[in-house]
Amino acid sequence: MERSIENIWKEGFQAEEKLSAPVISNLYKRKSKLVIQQIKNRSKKDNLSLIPVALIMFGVLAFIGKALLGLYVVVLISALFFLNKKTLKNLEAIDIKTNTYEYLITYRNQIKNITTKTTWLLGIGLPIAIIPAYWIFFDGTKVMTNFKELALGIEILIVVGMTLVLLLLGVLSYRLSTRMMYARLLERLESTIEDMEELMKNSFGK
Amino acid sequence: MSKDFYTQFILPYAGIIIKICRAYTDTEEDFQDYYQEICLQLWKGRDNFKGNSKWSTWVYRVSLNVCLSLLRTDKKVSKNSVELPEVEGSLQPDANPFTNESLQLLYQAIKQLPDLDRAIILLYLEENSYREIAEIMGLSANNIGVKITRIKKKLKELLDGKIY
Repeated sequence: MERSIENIWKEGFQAEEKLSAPVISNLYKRKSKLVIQQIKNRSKKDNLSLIPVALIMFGVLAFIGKALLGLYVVVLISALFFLNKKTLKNLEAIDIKTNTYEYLITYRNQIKNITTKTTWLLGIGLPIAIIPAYWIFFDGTKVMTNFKELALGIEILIVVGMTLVLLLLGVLSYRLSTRMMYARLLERLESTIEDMEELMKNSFGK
Repeated sequence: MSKDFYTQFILPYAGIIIKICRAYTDTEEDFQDYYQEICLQLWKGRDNFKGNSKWSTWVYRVSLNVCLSLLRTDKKVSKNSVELPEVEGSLQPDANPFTNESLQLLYQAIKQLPDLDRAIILLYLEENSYREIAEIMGLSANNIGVKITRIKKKLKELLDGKIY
């Protein structure tokens, strides 16, 4: 006799023993994994994008006859790439197996640390890296000749001024790009942590 | 989420949630994740329930929305070949979540349906009226009738020779 799907459903569930509700535990594990995974993916893509940038910069500078400067830029960007790679590897080492809430808090703290360190690195490192680049770019040109003819005090003033401008530009552009690329993901991370804290006030928080 | 809320408003409807989650997941881990996410969303969205419909209708609606949304996220994640961090528990498909063999086969067939068709047939099998299904799915009752006929035909084809 033909059995209808309605009967299969009804009879099946009448006899079903495995319909007990799963234990509610470690809530937010899935959401946490996804948020962190998205941040990781974005960071990886962000870092990988440095490679074409380095190649394009080298190509353009070599094309205008500044191959040495191009090489210098490639070295700088490569250094940044490997530094980021190392930082990402450290982030990978954070383990979710311990506890979802602690995992997110550790991750958030690490991100804050990275942001602070990178801000310092760019603030100090960018002027140190770019001023020699200017030197290489303008070496042998009229601009450099004129510069060398200036009084030492003015020369120092110009270099310090440029350093400060570069410092400001470096930090601002880093903060802006981070906000543009990661703001939404970091907000999700924060809201997940807040939700979990609210849950922890009650019985299912662990 | 308080234990009271879970005991009073979720546990009596756990069967509904389980049946829906089973239709949208293949592994035990996913099943538990989906179930927990539904519980969370029911709790977080409890103030949005104005009492215009039955609580069970609300549970269906939230459960289906969560499952469809998680499914979309999973598909997106898998499309971007993201490797999720390894967690405890098996990621192997739960080959036999039900003891009843016919039910097991019916579920396998339901899982082959498009996401929205799965939702409609689940609601139909749970003896919701066309009007209730239409309300939950945001479609017209007539449209639901046509869809159910088509889905049942498709299920019959999928189950042909296995159960029939």
